[in-house]
Amino acid sequence: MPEYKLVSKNFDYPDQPELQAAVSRGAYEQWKRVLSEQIPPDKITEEVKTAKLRGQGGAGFPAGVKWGFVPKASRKPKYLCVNADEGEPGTFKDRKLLERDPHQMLEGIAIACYAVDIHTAFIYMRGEFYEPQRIVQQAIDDAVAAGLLGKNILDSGFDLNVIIHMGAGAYICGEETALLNSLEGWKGWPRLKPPFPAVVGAFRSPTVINNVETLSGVPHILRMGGEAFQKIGTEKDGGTKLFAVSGHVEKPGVYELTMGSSLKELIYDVCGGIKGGKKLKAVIPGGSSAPVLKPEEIDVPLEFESMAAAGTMLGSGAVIVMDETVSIPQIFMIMARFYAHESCGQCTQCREGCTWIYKISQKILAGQGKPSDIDLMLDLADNMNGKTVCPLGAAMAMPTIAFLNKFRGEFEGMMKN
Amino acid sequence: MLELTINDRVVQVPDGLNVLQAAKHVGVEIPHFCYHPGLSVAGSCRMCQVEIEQGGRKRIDLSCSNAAVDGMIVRTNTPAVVKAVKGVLEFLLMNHPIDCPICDDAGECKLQNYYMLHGLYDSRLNVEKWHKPKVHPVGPTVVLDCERCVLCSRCVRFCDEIWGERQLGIFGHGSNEKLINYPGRELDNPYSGNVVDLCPVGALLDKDFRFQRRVWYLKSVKSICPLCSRGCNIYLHYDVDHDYQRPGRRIQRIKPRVNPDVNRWWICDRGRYGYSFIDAATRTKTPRLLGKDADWNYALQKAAELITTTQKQHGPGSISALIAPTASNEDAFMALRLFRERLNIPQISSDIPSSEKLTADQLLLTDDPYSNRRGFQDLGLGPADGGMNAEEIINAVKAGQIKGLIVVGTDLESLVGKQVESITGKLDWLIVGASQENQLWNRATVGLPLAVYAEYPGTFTNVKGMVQKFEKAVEPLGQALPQWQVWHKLAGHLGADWRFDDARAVFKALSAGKPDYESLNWHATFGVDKGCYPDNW
Amino acid sequence: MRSFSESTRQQALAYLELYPKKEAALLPVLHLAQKEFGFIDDDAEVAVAELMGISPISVREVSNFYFMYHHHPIGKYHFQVCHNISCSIMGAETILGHLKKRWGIGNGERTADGRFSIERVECLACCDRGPALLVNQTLHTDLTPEKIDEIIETLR
Repeated sequence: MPEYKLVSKNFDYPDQPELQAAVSRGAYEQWKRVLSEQIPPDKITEEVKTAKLRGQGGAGFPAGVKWGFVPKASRKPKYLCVNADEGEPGTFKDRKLLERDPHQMLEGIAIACYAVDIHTAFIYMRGEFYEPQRIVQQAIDDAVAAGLLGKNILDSGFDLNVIIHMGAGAYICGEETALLNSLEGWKGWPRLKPPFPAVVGAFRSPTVINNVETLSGVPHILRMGGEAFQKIGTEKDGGTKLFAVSGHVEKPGVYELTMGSSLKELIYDVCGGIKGGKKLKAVIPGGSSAPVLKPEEIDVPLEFESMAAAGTMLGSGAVIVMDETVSIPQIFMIMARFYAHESCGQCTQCREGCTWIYKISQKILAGQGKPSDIDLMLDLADNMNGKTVCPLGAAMAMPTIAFLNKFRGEFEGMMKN
Repeated sequence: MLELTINDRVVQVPDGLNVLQAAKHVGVEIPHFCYHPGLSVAGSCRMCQVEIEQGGRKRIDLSCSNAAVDGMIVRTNTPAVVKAVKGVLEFLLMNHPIDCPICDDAGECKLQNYYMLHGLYDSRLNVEKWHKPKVHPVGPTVVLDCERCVLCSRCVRFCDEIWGERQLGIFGHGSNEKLINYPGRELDNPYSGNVVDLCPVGALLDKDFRFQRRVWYLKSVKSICPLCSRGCNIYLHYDVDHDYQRPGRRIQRIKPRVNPDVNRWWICDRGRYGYSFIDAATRTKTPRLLGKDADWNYALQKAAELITTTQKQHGPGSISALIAPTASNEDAFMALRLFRERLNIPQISSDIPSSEKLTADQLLLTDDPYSNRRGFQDLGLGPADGGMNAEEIINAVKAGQIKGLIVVGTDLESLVGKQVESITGKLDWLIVGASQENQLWNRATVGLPLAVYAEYPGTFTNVKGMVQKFEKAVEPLGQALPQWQVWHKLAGHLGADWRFDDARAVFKALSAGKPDYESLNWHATFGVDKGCYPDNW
Repeated sequence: MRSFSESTRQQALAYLELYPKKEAALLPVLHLAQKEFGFIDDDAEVAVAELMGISPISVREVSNFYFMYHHHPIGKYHFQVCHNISCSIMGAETILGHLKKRWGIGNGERTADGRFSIERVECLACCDRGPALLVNQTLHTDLTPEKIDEIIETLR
């Protein structure tokens, strides 16, 4: 079995969100060691680079490299933004990390802030996360009371203020520059890059933005050493990855796998196969933005490069499994409806294109589609793909192209001739 | 300077430009909606995509948000770029009402122009369009059509960044978002009209110009706004042939003309909409003698006789002149040459308090409503040039020390109120030069109808000392003449033999020995353009 | 005109202090305003703008951008049903159909007694336990029509 429990190892202890219980299982040990041994910040960043820890929010950018981009000489305050705006359809791993092991993430936050000399961390949490907010806020309060966060942490002179900032319902705010605009009290319109957030981020200051899962891995890197962490995974993708499996499998849920395990193993071995013994029809392997795979395509290693080579992406690790009863044009309409709903309205192609494709998908479901609609949608998707400020245009275009090409016959079957 | 390749042509451009500006610099127009050099870069319309090759790597990217870099290779015409641009255009037209036949912006609309250049496809639209507010009065001067809007955010950024107050916003999310004002709060800043210039389509339109004229019937000259001492550079858009609508309105609209040292891309609403005096019914059109129409020769002959007689009887000091500094340098020069040099009139003042009080703002408007105070000063007709100021001259009139008074460009209300008799009763005669009928006009012994700035070429010197030329757009109304020509003719009646053929000759004479004036190239700003103004980014 | 209660006002002012610049508190302050007024209308926007010292345009741009701010009254119990892919294939439309049949209202509507309202929402990030919905702030998962009825019975 490819399961390897690292960040999820304490998920099954109901008392893990409580500070005492978490500490009894090793929480904050690395943070205390960093402070007591006065480990040089650069050495921590180097360990994280060696560990090949990659951004687990979907883009997979190496976390240590990201930290290294922050200009050291900057006189402005620096910020850490924790991306807890989990909204990619099919993704629910961060909810679990927030609800079941908040201190693990807080320890990661503290170590990251120490490494980059940051004294204010914002946890940008999606507005609908009422329960995670309550749990994490309690965890912060407890950690502050115990002197693990806040002012003059453990008499080291290091201060760290951790603030939860609740979003208000907008998928786009998971995009890191939209997140920054939203944090600053504006619409979640992504920013043009460059400048990158490491240089000009929140409040025009250098800012590190990391996903919840990425930061949750950081204490383990310090515990194991970067090299050992990397070796759990593959050469370029160190450590583990949480996969959130939903849809027609026997055992949906969050599973932690070593990087490089196969998608087929995940579905059939870890999740117990297709629910009710039905036939597999399609798998969305990395959140709804990831191009769909057909059953014959799922024997692919779950790591960033291999998935890209298979024409799809690892994304947020959200696997949606669909059995033979599912109507692909229906799923396609739901996906298009989502992006049309969530397009922020800034860039022309995404603003208009998502809605146009969504409206066509509705027509097709209503039996009013024409065969030429498929090529029209493919062309519209091409005109959106990779041509917008942020990846949302592509996030709509890529699955559109995959659904239409791989299941063309099923779409055509719904059309009047 | 840096060197880059644009469409296989190696070109040199100044440092500090983005790719879009660099291309424009060498004559390659890259289509765009949201980019404007006076505003921050939004990068949202995505129309200005080009292929950029750097270090052997090609990418399609925005020309507005990428700096032009030495060695960069830019292509605006590859099949992939053309498809991308066409794609954006199609998306923008998806919800656009395509009501060009009734849209004032037709003819200078980017969407329309780009469709002709880059579109020309059959519509593939197979779903219904959004419906949004139309004919929405977004403020006192501007009307909004949300369906035509392409959401480029130029107007939003203008209010935020240039005026400094949020008055427009883009509300909503995705394809049903709309640009509009906040309910009950209008687009009412004193520069609101600039959003009409900035709007690349017909979404924001001047109420003042709405349904007045198709833009291709307009002609345009370069001019200078005469309504304060800033000297904003403007275009006068005027009609020559098509006066079947709104007869009498020759000037159809005023548009800002780019001058980085004066007004950049902007003008205030006071200047933009304050042109009705040019074609006002109160314009003076015929010379007057003792309250009756006269011809120029007779009126000027009479004026010459009055001046000569009074000077003979009472000496040169018995005559005085008050000339408002709204006139051109050429006018002031000729007035001085006649009154001071030829007639030795000692007391000439331009120091007339304005009846209109202006408050300077943070952008362009100054607190001085006179367009040419600085020019008058440079020519020796300023308040500091010795002698009496206007108020003292009026007191001298009231004391009976002055027998003949020449008043130009003012009704003296700021000095005597409505009590004109308090001075006319003391004078042997009053010569009035005016472009508008005023309280002095009908009491003048001789009335001289003057042309306004749009009716003859000339120069103003702005508050910062910049000498700027304005062109003639339309003929003087009736028999009105430029002020300098009136003095030129009057000098003839007084025996002078001056030969100034045109305003340029006058300017040449007045600029001698003044480097700031001599450096102005008279011909550089000459010319009549088609109505669509070339500074339209 | 709407005005904040003193306690809400104090809480909002405390939010302003939390950030390097006060404008950043707009989302949390709007959440407070919605809690206080029930929904965000023009008056609420103006009240927020005045409290924060920013333009009402800035407030409206934000309140209209984020889907969790409501501009009309919602029910005492607001049913936010996920209709994204995972929940749909597990039966979200059945749940929506059941609610519609039970109350006679559709998406974005409120029962005449003001007790219930329905809103279709996008992914709530609990796809393994779909269909899922939020009733106000409480998450309910693995829904069936029977379970929905049980939930409604507990809401008084």
